[in-house]
Amino acid sequence: MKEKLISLIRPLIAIVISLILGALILFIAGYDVADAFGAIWNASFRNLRTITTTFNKSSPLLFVGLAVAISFRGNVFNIGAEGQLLMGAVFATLVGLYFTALPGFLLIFLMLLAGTIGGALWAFIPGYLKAKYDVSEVITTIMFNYIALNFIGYLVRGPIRDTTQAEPQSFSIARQGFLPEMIPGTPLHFGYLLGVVLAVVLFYMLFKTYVGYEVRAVGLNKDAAKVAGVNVRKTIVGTMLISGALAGLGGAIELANIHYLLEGISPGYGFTGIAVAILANSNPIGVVFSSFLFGFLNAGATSMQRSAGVSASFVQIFQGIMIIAIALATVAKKSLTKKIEKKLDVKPHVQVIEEVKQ
Amino acid sequence: MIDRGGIVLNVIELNNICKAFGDNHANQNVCFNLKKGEIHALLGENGAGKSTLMNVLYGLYSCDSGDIVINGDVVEVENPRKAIEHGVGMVHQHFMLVPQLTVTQNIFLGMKEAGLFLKMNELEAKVNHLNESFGFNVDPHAVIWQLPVGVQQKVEILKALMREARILILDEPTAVLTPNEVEELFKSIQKLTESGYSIILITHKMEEVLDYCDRVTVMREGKVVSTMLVSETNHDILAKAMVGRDVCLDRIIEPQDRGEVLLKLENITVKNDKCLVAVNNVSLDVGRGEILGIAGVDGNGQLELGEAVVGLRKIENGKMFLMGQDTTNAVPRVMMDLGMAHIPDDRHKKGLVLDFTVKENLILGSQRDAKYHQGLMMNYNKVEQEAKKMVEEFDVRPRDIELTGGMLSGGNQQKVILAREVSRNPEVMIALQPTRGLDIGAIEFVRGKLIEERKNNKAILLVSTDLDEILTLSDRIAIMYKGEIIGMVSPDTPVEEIGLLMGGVKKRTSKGVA
Repeated sequence: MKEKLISLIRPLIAIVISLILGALILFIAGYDVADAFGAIWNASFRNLRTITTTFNKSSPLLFVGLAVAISFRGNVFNIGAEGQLLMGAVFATLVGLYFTALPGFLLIFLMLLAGTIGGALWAFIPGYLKAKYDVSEVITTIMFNYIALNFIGYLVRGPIRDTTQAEPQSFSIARQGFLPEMIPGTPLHFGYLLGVVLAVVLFYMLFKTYVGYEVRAVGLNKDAAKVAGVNVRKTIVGTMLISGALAGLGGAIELANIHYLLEGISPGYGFTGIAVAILANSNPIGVVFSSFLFGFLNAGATSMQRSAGVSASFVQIFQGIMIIAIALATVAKKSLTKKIEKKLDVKPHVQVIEEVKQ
Repeated sequence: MIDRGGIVLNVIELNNICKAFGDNHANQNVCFNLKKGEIHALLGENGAGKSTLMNVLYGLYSCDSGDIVINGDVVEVENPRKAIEHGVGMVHQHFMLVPQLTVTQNIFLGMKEAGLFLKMNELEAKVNHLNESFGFNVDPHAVIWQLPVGVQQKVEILKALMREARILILDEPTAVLTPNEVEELFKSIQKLTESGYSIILITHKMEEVLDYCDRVTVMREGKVVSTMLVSETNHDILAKAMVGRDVCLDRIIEPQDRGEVLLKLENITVKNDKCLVAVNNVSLDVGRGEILGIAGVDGNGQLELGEAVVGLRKIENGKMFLMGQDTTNAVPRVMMDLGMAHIPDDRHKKGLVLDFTVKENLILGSQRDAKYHQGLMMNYNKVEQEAKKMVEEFDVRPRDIELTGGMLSGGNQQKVILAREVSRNPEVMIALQPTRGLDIGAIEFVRGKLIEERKNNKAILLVSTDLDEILTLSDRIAIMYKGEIIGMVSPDTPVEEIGLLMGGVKKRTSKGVA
């Protein structure tokens, strides 16, 4: 428990540091810091509707964050969550367009299932190539991102283009395939809840089952795992399958949320997902929080531009600073935690967290 | 500093060095001096504070109190760069080389003298010059990963020499070397001392102290026990000073009948990483209640043989039988399920997951055993219970099963591996270099466990480049040379004869078991 708490300190410090640096940059650029931050805050926490919008925006980040986190645990560097998310969306679209006769519940289930399979499939090939021929998954997954993106481009310009629309996009999926709202009248959908449940499941899988034990063993030292009789290839492929499945499911949910396929369905969720996972130290439960943080920032970006006149791109700068801060915190981790441990003897970590929060 | 005659100079004096890590007093008022041109051994078990002391001298740690005097001046050594400026070079136990680069590239890595545009010919000439001066025989073009460890070691020394170190600290330089390489190394070291270099040798091997050093300082539990002239001491005095009690590493194996054959190799051929034949047409069998030792100079195929037996390396030709079943090229899982245990040659790389806790490491490989899980879920209560038993029985210190594996000392890491493998209750045990780099107490423990397993009627295949170890433990000794078993002898064969065989000289009348 003590260690779990101390692992929270790192991201918290990183967030605080990036807040300070972000404020500094705004100040130097001549903006009203309070206004800009206030706008971001307001955009999310003004009322129930804005809060639920933030959850809605966090949903795809939650899924890709989980996808990347598990791949990191297994020492597979899945840069392809983006492509897997897109393929998940494609598969879900096809089901949503062609199985219109099915009742809502069944249709949604099938769409999500198809998306999961799509994402897993898209991750399987790089995973297999890595396990079997030691082909770098970084290269293959990046290439697969482009294939997926261009495949969507082809679909929404050709076979499934909704010609009544000016921009290339697909027809809308069947009405009963729209994701139901969790709180009526708000954008918060059940997909988000599913993501949270999966985060908990994934946490237990990683830390409480022998499958997770093997994934972590392979991730930390695959030679030792191999010596101990773990099937390293199978574990790598399995990790990639789970990772891709999660990203694909996230894509399917996003599709069922916005109802039609378009090229810009993901503004780089898969890449932000890497940051989300890193901020959470690849801990699935942590991903719930870090994805919410990134969703919160994204939700506030446009509002900040509107009311404080700060470019929405600032949010990206801010996210960048956060990643650098967390990376630095990782390097400084050992000396940092040691110093903290020295200073505060018993039950130190709760106090520190309290301090950081203030 | 300079004695009256002005001849003998203490190039290094460490006065009352104290260094603590939290509550752990790694060095307490340690005094040490090094005379010009001597080989001074710093002897002690792992954790005695030798490396800490040398890291203080080399600027890796700063000491809490005490003086460092180099060539008569009190100096502050804040970092290794400073140490090098003062002419102190250190060769670490774990080599700091870039495996993909050549010898020359490694030697000049980070040196300003190399310049922005590398003139490889000039640099190589410099390497060759050093080579010739001190009898290192290192090919400057060779790529590091393809070189045997003995040569890599020399590259490390060359690195220090190229940086104009006059005082060399060698941290356990022989841990990974073969007897021949050790001899070669010390020949070079002696040449160095003749040219006025001074050497500090960190070690826990008494033989090399007695054979090659001028003086010895023994450390135990952070303190200096005594400093002696090697000519005035002996094996027993050193052992007692080091451990604080009498130790016995003599052969204590009682004769015992050999039971049924559990492991059998028939004409197997195995290739090494470079796809060359490393094991050529080898046949062996190991029976219940026997230790078959495989002796040989490092790099003669014995490790490849061991790896093939445990299923980590492909058997290109021939057959292997374990417990009577054909297990040629079976995966490690199958071997383990049939009752094979394996102590790998590289603790860090193959034996442990260093970032796993001790308890997690103790079940590595057994995580799917029925007793450790219900359905998919691990039963961590049971794991903890068993882990606690194991650290108790195998004397893993500290007894904290929540520490990560990387925080243990080498000896305790090996005990974790041993505990894990022995608790699986195997029938056949493959021990590859099981005491490499361990201190004398841990060696005694590991060997004792192997002997115990033999007594329990297990079949043990022991691969070691430490001939003493082979002689102490084995019932039969197979000597490997260039991938072939060149002789099979009994342990009472004269050492000279075995040494000749290790060098590839076949004698017609090798007595003992054929």
